[in-house]
Amino acid sequence: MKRRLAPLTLLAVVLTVAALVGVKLKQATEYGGGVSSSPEHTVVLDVRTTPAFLQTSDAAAQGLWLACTGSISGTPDPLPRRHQDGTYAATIRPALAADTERRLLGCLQDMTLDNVRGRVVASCDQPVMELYDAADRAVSCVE
Amino acid sequence: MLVRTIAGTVLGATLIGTGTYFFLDLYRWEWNRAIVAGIVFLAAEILAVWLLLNNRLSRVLAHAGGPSNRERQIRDRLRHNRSAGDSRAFAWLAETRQNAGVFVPILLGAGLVLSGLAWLVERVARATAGFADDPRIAARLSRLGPPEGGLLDDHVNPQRQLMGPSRR
Repeated sequence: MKRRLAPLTLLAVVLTVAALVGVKLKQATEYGGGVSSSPEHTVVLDVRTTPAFLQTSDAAAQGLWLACTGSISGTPDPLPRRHQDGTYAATIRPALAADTERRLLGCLQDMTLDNVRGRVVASCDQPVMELYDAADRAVSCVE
Repeated sequence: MLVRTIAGTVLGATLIGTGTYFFLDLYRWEWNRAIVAGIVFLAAEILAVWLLLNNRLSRVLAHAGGPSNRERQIRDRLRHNRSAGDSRAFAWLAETRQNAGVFVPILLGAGLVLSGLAWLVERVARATAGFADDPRIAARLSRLGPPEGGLLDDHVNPQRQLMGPSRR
């Protein structure tokens, strides 16, 4: 009797875990399109290209920003602005909900464009000026 | 065994790592990375299943067509005896107080030399002791033979007249 119950128990546990993971994954990957109460959300981005990318890094940053903000809510800056340390910063208004922010950051870092690699340096509900010091170098978000 | 352990460890780490990153990348909305992690996970999973089946199949085949109990016993005995003690070449030459094995080759050599000497003596004797005693031996042996003319020829017998009936 115990021998028959053991595989059934294991199967039940596996199915339960799989169902829970599936539900959580569905929730995590479902786009709600919500916005936050903050007025704006700023993303500081470091963009690297390979020699196979024949355009400038400005073009790479612009292409990445436009490709990733095209499918989320809010009004993004039309183009990210390059700063002294080589990073790019752009703002989207109003601020994003948590799942939308995760979607934007995932898109920016996920090889969306061939031969362009983006790395998010900072992402927070603060204006651009608060994310750069006097020497125009990016700083961390203030929690 | 070590290779199998290493391969199993690497395979397990790959499965766990890629499986974790698959869900993590999905959560982060990094679809391209999730696809790559998923493909590697699938490849590792297929390899793991193949290894498992191969292992089971080898075990079944070994059980089905393997050596009999008798063969296995003999093989184990041979293996045990081989590993029981170190093989020593010319062990009888080792100096121990319990045996006199060192004299064996001396005796063998002495026997060989004596055999050679005996053979030489026999050859010399055959060549030199040929005909010296032949006449004497012939004279002695002739006495053992039958009389000349055979046993029925009695013309040289002086008692011939007495032995037969009168012929008148």
